[in-house]
Amino acid sequence: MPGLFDVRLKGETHPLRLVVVLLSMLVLLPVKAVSSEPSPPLQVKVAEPYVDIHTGPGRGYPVFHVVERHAPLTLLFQRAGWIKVETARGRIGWVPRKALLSTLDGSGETPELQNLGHEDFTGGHWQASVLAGELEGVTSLAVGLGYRFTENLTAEAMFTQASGNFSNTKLIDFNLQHQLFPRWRISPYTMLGTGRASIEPRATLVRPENRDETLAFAGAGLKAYLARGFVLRGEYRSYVLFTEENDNRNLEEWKLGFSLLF
Amino acid sequence: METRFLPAFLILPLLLPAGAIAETADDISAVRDADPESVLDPQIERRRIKEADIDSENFEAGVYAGILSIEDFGAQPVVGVRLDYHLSEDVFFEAVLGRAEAGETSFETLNAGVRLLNDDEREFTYYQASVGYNLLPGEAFLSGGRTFNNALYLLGGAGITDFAGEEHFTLGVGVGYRLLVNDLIAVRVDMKDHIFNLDVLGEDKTTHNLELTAGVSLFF
Repeated sequence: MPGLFDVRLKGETHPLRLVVVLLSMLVLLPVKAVSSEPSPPLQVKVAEPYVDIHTGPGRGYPVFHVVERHAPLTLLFQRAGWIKVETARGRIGWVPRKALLSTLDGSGETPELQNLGHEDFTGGHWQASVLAGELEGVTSLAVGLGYRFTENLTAEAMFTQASGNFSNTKLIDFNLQHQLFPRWRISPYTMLGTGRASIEPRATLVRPENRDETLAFAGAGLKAYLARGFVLRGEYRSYVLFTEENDNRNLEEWKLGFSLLF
Repeated sequence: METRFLPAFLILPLLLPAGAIAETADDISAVRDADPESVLDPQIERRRIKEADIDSENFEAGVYAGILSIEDFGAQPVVGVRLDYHLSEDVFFEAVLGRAEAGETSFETLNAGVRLLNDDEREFTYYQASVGYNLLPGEAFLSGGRTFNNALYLLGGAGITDFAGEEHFTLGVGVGYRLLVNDLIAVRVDMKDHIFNLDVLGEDKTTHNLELTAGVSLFF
C-alpha cells in the first residue's frame, strides 16, 4: 500500500484520504454529536381529534389522559417503540411512536418516522447480528456489527467461532453486502469479504500447531424483515484460506440468525 | 370554565412583585402555553422534526452478581455484565458475559490430592446472546403515590462457555424480573439454566448449570 502512505506524506487532500476520514467519522456517529449542546424541547401539536396518553410504555398500560386536537406535546425520549411525552399541563405519560403520525411539527408537517427495514431508506443505520451455523460440519457462532450506508450497501465486521472436536476455529472478517432489491420484504443480498482465520487443533491431536491465515470469501443470503428493526437472516459463505503451503483451502459455511437495526 | 379562572387572574397581579408585571411578550406566551390544552394554535417552535431527532433510550447496560451452580463442581459466586437492546414493548435482545470459578467435585474432596482441573481450567466464563420476551409487563405499587413499571420476561439464547480448558456450545434459557426504579435505572433478578455437554468426568453428559443473579442496569 505505498500509494496510500505517499498521499499522507504529501498532505494533500486526496479522495482516498477523504474516505479514511469519513470512515472514522462513521465510527463516532453513534456518540450523537448533537446531544452535546442542550437542544430546545421537541414539540409537536396534535392534529387528530385526540391522542391517548398511557401510564407506561406498552399497550396494556391504562390510558389516564387525553390530549385534544391543537394541543402541544413535548417529546421527552423514546424507548422500545414508545415516546415519553409531557402535556401543556405538565402531565407525563407515554404514546406509541405511531402517534407521531397524528401530530404536526412546527413547520406544519407530520414528523418523519425513521424507517429501519425495507421501507424507504431514510438514512444510515447500524445492524447488529447474531448468527449460528455450520462451518465444515462444526457448529459455529458469530456476532457482527455493520453499518448501512445506502439503500443497497452495508459494511460489516464479524467474528465467528466454531468449536469442534478436532479444532477450534476463529474467524474475523470484514465484508460488504449488497442488497439487490432493498424494498422487498424478503431481500436477497450478495457479499464479499476478507479477514483472518485462526485454527487451533485440539491438544490431543498429533500436530498441535496453531495456524493463522488470511482468507477471502464470497457469499449470498436472504434478509427477511419480520418487524420494525428486526431481520431474520440466512446466508451461505464460501471461504478461501491462503495457506502458507501455497495450497489454498476451501471452507463452506451456512449461517442463520437475526439482525437488529438501530 | 373561564369564570373559574377569573378570580385567579385578578389576584395574580397582587401577588406578583411590580417588576414581574412589567415583563411583556415572553411572559404572555408562557401563560398561554400553560393554559388548558384545548387552547387553539399553541406556540411551538417552527422546525421540522424527525423521529430520529427524539432522544432514543433503547439500550440497557448493567452488572449482576449471584450464584452459579456448576454441575458436579458446586455452587459458586458469579459476576457478569450485560448489554440489552429493547426492540419493542415485547421483545428485547441481550448479550452477557459472566464469570465464575468452579469449586471441587465431591470426588476431589474425598480423595485429597486428586485434581481433575487446574486453576485455569476451573475458570468458568460464558458469552451468550439471548432473545427476551416481556411476558407480563405491568405496574407495581410501592405505596399510594409510588408506581414502578416492571415486567416478568422469558429469555432464550445460545453462546459459548469456556470451562475445563475447552469451549462448549451452550444453550441458555431463563426467566427474569425487571423493575424500573425510574426512567434510567432498572433492578433485575434473573434465573437461568446454562446447558452444555461436558466430558470431564469420563462420560459425555449434558450438564445443567443453574444461575440465580441480581443486578442493576442503566438505560441509555
